[in-house]
Amino acid sequence: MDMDNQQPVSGDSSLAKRPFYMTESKEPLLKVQDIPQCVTNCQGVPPHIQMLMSIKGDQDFISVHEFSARLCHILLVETGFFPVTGDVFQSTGFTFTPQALMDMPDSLRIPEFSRKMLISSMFSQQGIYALKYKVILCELVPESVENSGDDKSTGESSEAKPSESGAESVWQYNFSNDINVTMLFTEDRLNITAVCNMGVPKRTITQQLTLNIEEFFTQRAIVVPVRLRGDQWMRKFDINYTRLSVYFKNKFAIILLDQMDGILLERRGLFSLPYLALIKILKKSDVITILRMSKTCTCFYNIVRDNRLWEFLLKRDFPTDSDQPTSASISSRPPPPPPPLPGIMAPPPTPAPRSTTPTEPSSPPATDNQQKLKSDEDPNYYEIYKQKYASKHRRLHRMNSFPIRFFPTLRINRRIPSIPFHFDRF
Amino acid sequence: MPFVNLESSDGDLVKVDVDVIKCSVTINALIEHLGLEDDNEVVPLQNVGTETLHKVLAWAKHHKDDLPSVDDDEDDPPRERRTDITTWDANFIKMEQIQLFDLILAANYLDISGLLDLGCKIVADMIKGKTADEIRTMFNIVNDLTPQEQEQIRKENEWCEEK
Repeated sequence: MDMDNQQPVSGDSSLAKRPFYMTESKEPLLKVQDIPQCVTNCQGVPPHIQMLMSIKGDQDFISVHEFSARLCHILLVETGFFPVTGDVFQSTGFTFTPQALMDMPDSLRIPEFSRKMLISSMFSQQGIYALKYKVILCELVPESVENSGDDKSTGESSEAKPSESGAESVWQYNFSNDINVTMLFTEDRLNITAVCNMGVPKRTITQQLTLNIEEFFTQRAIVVPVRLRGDQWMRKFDINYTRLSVYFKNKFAIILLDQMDGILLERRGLFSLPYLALIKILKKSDVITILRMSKTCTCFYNIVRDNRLWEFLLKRDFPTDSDQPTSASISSRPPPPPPPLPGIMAPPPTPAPRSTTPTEPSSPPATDNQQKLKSDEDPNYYEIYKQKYASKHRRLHRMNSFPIRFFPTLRINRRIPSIPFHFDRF
Repeated sequence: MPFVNLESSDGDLVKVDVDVIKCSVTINALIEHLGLEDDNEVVPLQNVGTETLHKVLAWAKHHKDDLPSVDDDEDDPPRERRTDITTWDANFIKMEQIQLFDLILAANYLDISGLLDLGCKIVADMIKGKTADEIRTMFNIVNDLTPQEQEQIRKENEWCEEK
């Protein structure tokens, strides 16, 4: 390999152009009249989906039902469901710990796990697909002797190591109980039902979705043959994968995950970035934008409440008077920010390595205990910022509402509107 | 001139001048600790794909004569903020969102603060001036807030958001 390799290769690899998530699939280029030849490629579709579709079951050919069931399965895996199959969850133990699964990049996780299920247990029995999944739960478990017994009933594997501090709560990553997903076809509809018995607190979660795969065709396929190979189906149908993906996830997968308090593993978009980078991005934004970000979802709400972020913003936006932040205004210690909202993306105890500042807990306040601790150590910079901002704008406001401003003559002009104009005329 | 071989997650080997990659704290530390006996030393980078690696190297090559950049946001924001992006950087960073995020991830993994800053700045610019809804659509953020929570957040943010 020589020096030439250092040169940037810009936009030449067609492989990189291919989307990775089903949601990002491009509109198929296929035209209806092309169908008989079945020649077009599946360039707009993620490669692993194409690969999955060509996996053979008992027969070479699959029905349109199986085709759509496979698509739903892939979408579930993308969202963060793990198929329960022999080699992922063995009866004795686990091949993977929850932590390992969460650290796994999507490019490995999705192809790997969607394939596993297909090989072992995808194939239907009389038109009913019964699948089993697990999700990862992030649970705040009070660290005590009685509760450690309960944990074992919830999930079979626990990640957190028992800490010395007796009464404190700890985050634990556990697998949920099995989620039974049944896919049943009635005529052209696919009825999907998920049932899961949760451990603590005991409850049963059910989620249903009726899906008509034909609604997602971009153009109606003219002839719907009974059986085809999976990849042939992909060429046969102009499916708007993006719409299907968004619909399925928003109406089913994510709602189910949210009800279970499971962890959303799809790292597309902003959340593929580490915590440090997210904070960095916020640090480069203005306050209005930052607060808007907090309105987008629970996770960002929690990130925006990071005290260190506001400490930085305070120094950035009020450089002159923030040099002595712990003065009189703070001694009254404002109330702590509201507790973070619970949510599917609730930040784990140590969201990301933050090598630069090991002194302070990096996550937004997770428990009352931590919160109290933090407010003892550090002033609440968010509240200080708020006060500073308010006082600055009060000053600005007072200036703006002063009756005579920069051009006192304007008041005269208003009475005699167009003097210059008249002069011009003459 | 010493060289080091970087292996991308796709298994491709790229031979790089040590001088170019010295901006990466991770690789620098690795070289310092392990030493470089011969030119055939291979450093596997499991989190960086080939395409991204080439991008990173292109950036590193262009900036290899820069002064070591001071991390501009650690605790002590400089008085004048570096808001300017050079033309080269602006052209360099023109890419799809996925590639941009891959680049940020790689910069974070390799600990190249200049590149990380550049990437984050670009994302911050993309966010700027957008409504919450637009941000959600743009970056695939699922709105998991209930209407009550949204109302609560709206109230909390009232001190700043324009009415």
